[in-house]
Amino acid sequence: MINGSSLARLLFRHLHFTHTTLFTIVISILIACITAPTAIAITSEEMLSDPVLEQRARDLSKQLRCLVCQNQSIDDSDADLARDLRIEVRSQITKGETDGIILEKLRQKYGDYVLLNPPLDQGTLFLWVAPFGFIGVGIIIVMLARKQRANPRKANLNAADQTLIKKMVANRNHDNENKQT
Amino acid sequence: MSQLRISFLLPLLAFSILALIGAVALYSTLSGSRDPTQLPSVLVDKPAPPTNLSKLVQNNSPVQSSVTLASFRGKPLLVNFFASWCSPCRAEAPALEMLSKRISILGIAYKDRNDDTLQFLKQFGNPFQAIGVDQDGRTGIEWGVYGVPETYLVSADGVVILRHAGPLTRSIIDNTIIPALETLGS
Amino acid sequence: MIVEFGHFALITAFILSFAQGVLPLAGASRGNIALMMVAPAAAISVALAVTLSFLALVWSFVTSDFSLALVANHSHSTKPLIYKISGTWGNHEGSLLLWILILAVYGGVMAFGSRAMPMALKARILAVQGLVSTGFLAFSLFTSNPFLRLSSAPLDGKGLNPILQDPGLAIHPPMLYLGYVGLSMAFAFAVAALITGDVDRMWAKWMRPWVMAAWCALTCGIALGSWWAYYELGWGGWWFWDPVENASLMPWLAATALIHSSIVVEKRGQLKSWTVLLAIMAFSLSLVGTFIVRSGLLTSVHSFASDPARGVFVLVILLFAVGIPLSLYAWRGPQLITTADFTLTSREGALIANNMLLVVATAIVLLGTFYPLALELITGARITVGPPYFNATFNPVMALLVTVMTIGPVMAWRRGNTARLKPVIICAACGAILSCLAVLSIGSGFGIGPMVALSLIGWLGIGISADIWLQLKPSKSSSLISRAKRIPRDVIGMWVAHLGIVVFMIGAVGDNLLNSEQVVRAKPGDVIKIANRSVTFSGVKQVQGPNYQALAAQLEYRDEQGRLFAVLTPEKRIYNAERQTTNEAAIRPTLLGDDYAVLGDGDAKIGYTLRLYYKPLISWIWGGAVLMALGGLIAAFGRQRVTKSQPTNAVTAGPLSSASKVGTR
Repeated sequence: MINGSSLARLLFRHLHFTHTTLFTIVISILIACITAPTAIAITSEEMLSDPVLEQRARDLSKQLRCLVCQNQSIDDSDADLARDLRIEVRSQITKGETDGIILEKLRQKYGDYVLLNPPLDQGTLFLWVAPFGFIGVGIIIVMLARKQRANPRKANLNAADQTLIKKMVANRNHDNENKQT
Repeated sequence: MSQLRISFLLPLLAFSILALIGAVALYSTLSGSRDPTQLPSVLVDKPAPPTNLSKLVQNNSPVQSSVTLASFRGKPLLVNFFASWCSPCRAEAPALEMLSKRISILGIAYKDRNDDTLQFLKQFGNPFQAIGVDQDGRTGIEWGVYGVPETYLVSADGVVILRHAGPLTRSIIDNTIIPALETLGS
Repeated sequence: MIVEFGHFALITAFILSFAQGVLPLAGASRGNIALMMVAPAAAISVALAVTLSFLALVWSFVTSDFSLALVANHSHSTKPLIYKISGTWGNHEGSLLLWILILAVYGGVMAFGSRAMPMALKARILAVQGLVSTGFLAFSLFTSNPFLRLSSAPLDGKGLNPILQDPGLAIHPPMLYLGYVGLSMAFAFAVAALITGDVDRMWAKWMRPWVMAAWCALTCGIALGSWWAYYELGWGGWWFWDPVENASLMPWLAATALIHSSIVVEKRGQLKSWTVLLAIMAFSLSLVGTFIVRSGLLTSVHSFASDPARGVFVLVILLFAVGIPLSLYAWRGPQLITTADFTLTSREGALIANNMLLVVATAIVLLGTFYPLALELITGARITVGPPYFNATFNPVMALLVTVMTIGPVMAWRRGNTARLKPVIICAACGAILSCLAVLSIGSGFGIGPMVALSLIGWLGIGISADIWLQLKPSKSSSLISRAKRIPRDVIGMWVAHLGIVVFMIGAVGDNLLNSEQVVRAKPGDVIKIANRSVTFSGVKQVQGPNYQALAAQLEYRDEQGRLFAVLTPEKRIYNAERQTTNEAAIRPTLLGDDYAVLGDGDAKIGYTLRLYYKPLISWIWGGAVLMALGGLIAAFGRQRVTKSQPTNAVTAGPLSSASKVGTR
């Protein structure tokens, strides 16, 4: 039996500890984000004059994570780093690099974390295969359930039983019809 | 029936795995071994990116010169990205001052105005052997910087040994930086 | 004084809910009526106590009682009244109390109503409810007490995060919790069924209204959250596959499956064990959601400043609340297996496909949400599972689901064919082809995903319309109205909800394919062209809000003939107390599309950054969600009437059900 108040005290202590550490972390991130010059997501100065290249840049930006934000792409984010990365992507595009190479270059600097689309490798194999596995497991369970449920009952009925049942069903239907009329 | 019966255990199994993940994650977060705000650096154990920056002009010296990483080859180096607008950088100034007695430090002023940087150095001290100016943050991207301050330990032959994001604290210096320095033989 | 009273009420509720959890369970197993009678009495008392406690907290927010730590940290005296009230649940402790309030009120309503239910079943259900509230009341009292006083009260509070000061977000959490917590009723039904080992059609019939109500609330809650993100975060997105969004989507998917499978239990007495599992799953997933939001293990744009220590408590609750029922399920579940008396090409088969796909979709979301955390713990590698992953895995499963959605409702129970099946499929297929061709005639170069989505819109939209027409078509013996009157309300509800999905898809695809955007740096007097409108930027104005100052851009929207049809004023606000800036988008929503404008940085000299969007059909996304919820309500309220007057519809086939009775004997 856990003593309620001692549990509470234990949790309180932890609460205090993590509060202060978390607080410093949050504050330092906030300050880093706020004090740096900010702008709303994308500005016209960043954009490329060629609409085709600009569209490529936008599409690429949607695949890159803003590292200091929480689950935003650099296209959506107004963080300073996101802006730098958008500029970096555009400068690579104007240099004539392909989309794949641009993503790979950023991956070599920031790791897989920067890619919103997790690349297939040893670590993510399960992530990509599992959806198919889920469907497979689903089908197997449905099949198992049907097989297990249907078979024994059919096996237990001999021909005489079946005619008896048919007769009963027929009688019952007949009764129902009589009742309705 | 037995195969079907096993499928009734699947939800419990799935939940146990999920709960285990949650429990381990909570434990490692609370015990301090996991910090979700720290991203591992891809650069660790890889050569530091070639870096060539214009040098921060101090004391009105008229000479325009550049600072390169290559010129520090031959002995271990600490590379510190900082900015005057970042308040954790102020907090770590004493720690850097202390470290500068053991190892030379290359400062990189990240996305900052020169005047502000100079003011910052005047106010909080200058532990840096040299300071490069990274006004547009491109060098930061090369190094995989995601927020200042960030500190990199580079070995004598130019390989990144470790990276710390966020302000250097007493415990980080004692528990990670100093041991790493000792293995480098410094 | 009121604060102490609220605190006391909360402690009372904790003790009472413990009694509500333990005594009736003992009573039900021993057949002790007096102990069983504790359940409704305790449930009503807990509901009252928690309500009083919550009101006390709201009162301290309204009166800005800064001696209360919570109020001092999350409120400010200059805040408008509505945000003082909504500020009550704009933080961890207060929102937890709201969670408990809704849980307690559900229990109280159940205790008052449901008189037809057997006493033992009702006692067990309320007891399970009581145990869940005991856990959460302990969570509140021991780790997140909202009633803690400060030793010295500050002069003013720290304020509420400006992006939370918004009408959408004021009602979003209560709506969402109404859904999350409503699923606890289904959960309690399932656990009670596992204790007795008995599930029958009446069980499903009694459970359904609770599930439907919770599902409707959850649908609205998610839609509100997405709507808030759309207009408040300022970049026009409406779904981000963020962990917190996923946390609300998973119980929704499971509840959607539950709604469908419980039909099979109610009408046909099949899929019992599966339905029990879904009921446990749906609520478990909302608990998992609570865990995600409050532990801070997964970072998100939506969560409160979170704390792993609280996560420990939620995890313990989770272990009890999910671990025990799932163990019970592994043990007792096989007893609920029934003999299948249908072929797979039947209404049951379609509903099984529906359930399987929804559960697979849930599993994918769960996997994608937790995989980065699991991988980090195992290998130390940090990865991101973002929208591209979910689009690649979740969307195809949903596409299959929509495919089945057209066929399922026109199939008969037990074995497939109805007279409507063939014409509906033919119409739906024509619809799919036509919608594809129609769009290809406008433009080309659309990706495979949007094309599939488009053809599915035609497939489902035309398919449902054909079904409706075939069932309403006037014949010699009956007029359209007399036929319409005979259609059960749950069928009408289904049509409305499924059409809601069509509407939702039109919105999502429309926004995806036809969205136009302009990002410019503009000076007063500049004209910007977007879609077929021209927008004149006539300058900025200073605006003084109740607790903020703002810079508002004046944008005059003119159509092709040069007629002024709207003036939009996006704002950049600076909140005084919180010292935060927000970009307040200006939106002119219409059925055809939204004009959306955001004001960025800049000054008169260099010009201001303006982001203008024209988002065709986007409001259909939320319109679709409203239709889905409406359909759910129609189906939920239509139940009684249908069972009173037996309709001559394929849904309840007389002779077949008598035959099945023979079959299961």
